[in-house]
Amino acid sequence: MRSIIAPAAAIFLATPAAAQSLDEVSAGTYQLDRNHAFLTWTVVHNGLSDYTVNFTDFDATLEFNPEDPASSSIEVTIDPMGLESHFPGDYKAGHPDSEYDTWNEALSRSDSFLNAGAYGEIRFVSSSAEATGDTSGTVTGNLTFLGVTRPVTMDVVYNGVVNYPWNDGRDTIGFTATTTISRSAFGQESLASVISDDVVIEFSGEFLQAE
Amino acid sequence: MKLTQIFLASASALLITACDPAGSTDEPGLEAPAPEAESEAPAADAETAGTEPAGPLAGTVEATYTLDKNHAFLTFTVIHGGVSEYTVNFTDFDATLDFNPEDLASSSIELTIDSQGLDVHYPADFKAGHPDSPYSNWPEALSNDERFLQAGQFPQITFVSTGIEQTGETAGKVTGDLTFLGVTKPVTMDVTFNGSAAPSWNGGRVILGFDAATTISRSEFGQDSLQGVISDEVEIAFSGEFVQEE
Repeated sequence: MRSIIAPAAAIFLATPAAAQSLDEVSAGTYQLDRNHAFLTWTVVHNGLSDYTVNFTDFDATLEFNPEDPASSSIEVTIDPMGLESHFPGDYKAGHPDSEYDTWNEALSRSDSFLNAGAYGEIRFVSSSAEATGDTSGTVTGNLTFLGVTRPVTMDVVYNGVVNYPWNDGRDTIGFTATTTISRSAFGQESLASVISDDVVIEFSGEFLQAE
Repeated sequence: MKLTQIFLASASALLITACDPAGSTDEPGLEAPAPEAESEAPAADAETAGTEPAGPLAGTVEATYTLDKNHAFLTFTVIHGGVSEYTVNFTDFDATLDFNPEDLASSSIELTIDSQGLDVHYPADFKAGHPDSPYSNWPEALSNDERFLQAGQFPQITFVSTGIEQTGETAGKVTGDLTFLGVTKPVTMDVTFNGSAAPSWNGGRVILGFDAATTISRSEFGQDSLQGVISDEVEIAFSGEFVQEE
């Protein structure tokens, strides 16, 4: 009997055909396809489990140069009011004194968390990039979070190019990126006994060549 | 495989973090959990193993545990267009774990997912882009459309464990019957035990943390839609906590 279970190392071995060579990719400005883009942050809760929250309102513009990927640049903006976290409980019943209506709103607004009232935007502006393999690299830039700007380096993988027929020949390119930041380095020291200082940021998504 | 690499890299990063609670339990109000490092267990204690769980399992007790639904995440991820990972969160699921730290293989778990409970990042105006759709939003379409979860016909997805094998001090494999789209097939999950705690604010009841992941072929459960756009492989990932029943 054929096992339907792939070992962990074989995750996604078979994927739809997409060209992975950079030779076929157009240079130029690419805009995030916001409907095919996921950006999450994950902390460890109580030392026991990964707690993952999705950003729901973010955008990015990529200047991509396939002939010299290291000369490419990217700018990402995130609205800290846009969060989605899995919280099926009755937030108001469990937090009768909270000034917030929902857990997502508390995460966005509370000064223990994203403090969105004081800091209405999280921003990443690349400053340099380096190729580390045929389709992998690092992107270093300035991350501004809670009003603090610090250099952050993301590990980035280029996943390939695809030409969806409804996009009139414009290229769509896919990337996956990840980094880990220390939230205390940005001044967030709340709940240090319950929430890890390390925050893993993960992105996977598509960018569409501008018209 | 690029997508595989990044998936594993990030999973490893999370595990590294998860294995180091960084003194998270030293604060008043959080009872110290079981020591995570075996080095904290004197060698003499090894001789008494069998009466009390030792090593990473020290402090855990044989009991029924229910999912802490506010600290539990269950996602499925496919590859879209061959170029990006598309991740959807289940929002309505529950699980019961019968955990026996002295005989892990005799533990068991049952998981139930409501196919109607999905959350997915879709910022565009769904109705504007899909004027003929019978659904009002994209998560509803994913739940109900016959190309996806067909919740009207198959309202529940269930997993019932049939066997557990320990493969490392905190790692194991849980095999069970997954029922999806009315098809029941054996599935094996890779599971990691992240640790335990027994905080005083929870009456000293034991909390267990786990990560789990597996990959299924959706076509083997009869879902053949959108081949070429959506990968056949579906990665299922879980991280969450279970609380000892009162």
